[in-house]
Amino acid sequence: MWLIIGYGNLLRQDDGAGYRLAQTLATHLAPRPLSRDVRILAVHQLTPELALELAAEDVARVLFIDARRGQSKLLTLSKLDPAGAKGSCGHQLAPELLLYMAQTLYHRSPQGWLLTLAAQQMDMGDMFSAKAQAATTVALSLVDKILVKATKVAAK
Amino acid sequence: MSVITLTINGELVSARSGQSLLEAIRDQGISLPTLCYLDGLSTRGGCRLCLVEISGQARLQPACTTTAGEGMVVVTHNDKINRYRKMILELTFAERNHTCAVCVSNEHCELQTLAAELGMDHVRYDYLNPQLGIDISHEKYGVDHNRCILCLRCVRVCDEVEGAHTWDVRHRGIASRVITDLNRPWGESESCTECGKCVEVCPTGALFDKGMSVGEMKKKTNFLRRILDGREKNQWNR
Amino acid sequence: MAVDMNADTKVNMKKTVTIEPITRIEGHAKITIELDDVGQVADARFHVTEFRGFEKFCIGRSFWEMPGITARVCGICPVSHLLASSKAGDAILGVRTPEPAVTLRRLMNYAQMVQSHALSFFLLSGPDLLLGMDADPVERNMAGLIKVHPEIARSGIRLRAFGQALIRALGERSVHPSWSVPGGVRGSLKAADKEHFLAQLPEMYSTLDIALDLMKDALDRYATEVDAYGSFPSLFVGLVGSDGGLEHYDGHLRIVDSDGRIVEDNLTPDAFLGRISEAEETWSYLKFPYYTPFGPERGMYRVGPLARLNVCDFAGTPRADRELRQFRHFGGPGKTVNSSFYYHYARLVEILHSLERIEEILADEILLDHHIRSRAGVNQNVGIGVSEAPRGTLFHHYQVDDNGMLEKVNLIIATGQNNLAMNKTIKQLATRFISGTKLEEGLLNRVEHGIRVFDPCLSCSTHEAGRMPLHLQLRAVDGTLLDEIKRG
Repeated sequence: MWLIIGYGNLLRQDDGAGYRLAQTLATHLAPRPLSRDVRILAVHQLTPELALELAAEDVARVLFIDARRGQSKLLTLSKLDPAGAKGSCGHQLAPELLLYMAQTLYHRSPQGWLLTLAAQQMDMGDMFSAKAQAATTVALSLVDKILVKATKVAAK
Repeated sequence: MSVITLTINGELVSARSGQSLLEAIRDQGISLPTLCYLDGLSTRGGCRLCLVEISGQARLQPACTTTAGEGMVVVTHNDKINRYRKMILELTFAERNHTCAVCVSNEHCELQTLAAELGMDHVRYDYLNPQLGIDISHEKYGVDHNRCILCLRCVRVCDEVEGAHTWDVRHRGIASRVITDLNRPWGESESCTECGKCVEVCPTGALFDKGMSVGEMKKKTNFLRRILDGREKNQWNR
Repeated sequence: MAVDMNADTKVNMKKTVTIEPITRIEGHAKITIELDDVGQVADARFHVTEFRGFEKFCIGRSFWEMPGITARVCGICPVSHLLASSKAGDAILGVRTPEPAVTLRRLMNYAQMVQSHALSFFLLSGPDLLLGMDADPVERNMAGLIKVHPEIARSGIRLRAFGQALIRALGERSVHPSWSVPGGVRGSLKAADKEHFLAQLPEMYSTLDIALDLMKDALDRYATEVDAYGSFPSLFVGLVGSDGGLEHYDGHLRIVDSDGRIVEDNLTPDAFLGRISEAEETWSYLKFPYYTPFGPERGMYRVGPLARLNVCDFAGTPRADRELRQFRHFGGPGKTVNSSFYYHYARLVEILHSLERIEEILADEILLDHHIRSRAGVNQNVGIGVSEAPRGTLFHHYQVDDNGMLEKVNLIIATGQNNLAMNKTIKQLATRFISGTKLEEGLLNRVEHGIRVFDPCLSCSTHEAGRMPLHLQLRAVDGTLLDEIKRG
């Protein structure tokens, strides 16, 4: 089972791109059998109790989707290392920390990836910049491909 | 009632003579997106979402205002049409301030649902961010021009079904706004019968019951068919 | 890690130390400590550089939408805004909100108190309290706490999840519940949910027992430092019930001074705001409210858990009252507890109290009553809604036209009201712990912790902005960068 967590504030323009992508993915996948193997959450920000979601028994892989300002590429996809969770932390947690929590507190080690979408504007408002939109579109097909491939591999 | 035959998406199908192409297509169980069209109201071909390709015609045609014709060869979905539909939705979103997250119709909105269904995941056009207000001078209802898509269902239902013709449109093109009476605040309208039909048929959060909070406004358009069947066919069944 | 304060040799030049941003608090802020030419602390400031644009965003909208909008804007205390906003709406309607709705709102507010305080105590301040202020910064964070005290972290997460789940059960969504509306609420609690939450309470109580023990140990350990964490006289402001008891939803405002004397009592929100002035400073977007009759210096006041325990006569629930009596020992007979360090302790007392209240409410037959929303139009043009948010008293002040369209919106948030006290706390800490020309890592964290005791929420900021690592800058008064350190 995949767990996909998109996060951000929908009233802060591009900041909400991760949240929006999670919503779009949910509608996009809903009619397909694939959706049985995916759980999607759209949240304002990462909070500690999400560790419980990561630690659920059927979750094998987690994909975090976030928006990031100042990245030149439209998307970056990186494997997360729970050991990288030692740095700063706040009301908004780092995704690595959630993986680390799942591991240390609940002895579950789902694999984790972080997909970041390029963001430009983060003022009050609900429209996305061209860049964030382009990132979201590319990300949608990328995530789709990843999910399809993973399901095929699992079927074999 | 005479029957005609036409080809829809490569299949030979029959339809009633005089039927609109939209009805003929939907009778085949094919879903065609619409926003301005509403069963029971006159058709105006305003939203352009039901555009289809008809052989022999250079341009795409709105299915709602086209009469199904004998021997027509129609395509309802292809890359070009899908692209056009998305583009139309994108323009609709760019034109006003929809702010779905805090809209009274969030998650119960025809525009929002269509955007999801058609996979409109981005808007390629610059947002116009017009400075638009709300009018909540009416005791029971409110209008938020930020969410209005100018489908004019309100204008038609008020004129054609209620017979009050409170709603109309001022200005042209992108400057168009729906107005009550001669652009007086809704609460001061003398023609409004407060029936609420306009609110129920509005596809977005533009017209709403006053006092609704975010995501609380759910609309039901099925009353319209009931009224019209009663009136026109003397069928008073619920 | 240290900074050589003598990097600049010019005479008579003030030097500025900037810590930016504060980790483990919400939003984007930085701290500046200004030293005079002999290396003594001249001033300390907590800057909030994020503009709170949403007051303007709301003008021209209808007050009916405000609970949903304000809850959306803030990801950290949406429930507090939801309640203050719907109460401002209640005031505009001018009708009585049905008692079952009030009870349900209280229930949600207690759930919010539990989840928010649990985050602050167990996970944000926990690393400092349990691992030690001078612990290696590589370990002294949430990850370090999880490694050393996994059982504490698990309990904290369970407690937080309990509060969040209760909020979700009431409002359908835990983060943006547009559930409370002017006049009442949109839905009741399902009977099955009631049993579900009641069954979890014993576990939550035992978590609190453990937390209180840990807290008291920490207080022993930090006995010498408690005095440095914002220990100074100030006024305290909070709601109290009509009987003078601890109150988070309604009642009236009370102001007490640090000798425990009631300065003013039985204030309506309107009357209270009439006694408050808001100073504005160019270096921060946060306003600086103070009690006008005493002026900006003596009129400084604190809100939040510490203030609430200081202003109330009693808690009104058995377990919390027992703790409250112990808590009061730290202030001395008849006096208030003045060190901001005790905010941590106060949070635990409040979680306990909230759990007890949740238990009471869940057992209350009134929840079965279906009358949960009063309907009316605009009967008043001004509405002030007040509620006790986890961080302190929150006011939503709206002015609407006769149709309900917003003409003025003023949100007076807890973090703003604590602003003067936070600055004073930093200055006190800096004065106490900066010695000579070196900046020790422990000092940086103490200063940060000094802010963190207030658990400030600046969450109208984007989460993206809050991700930057700790950045310490040493600047001359003319703005030249003398030295800098980055952490994380």
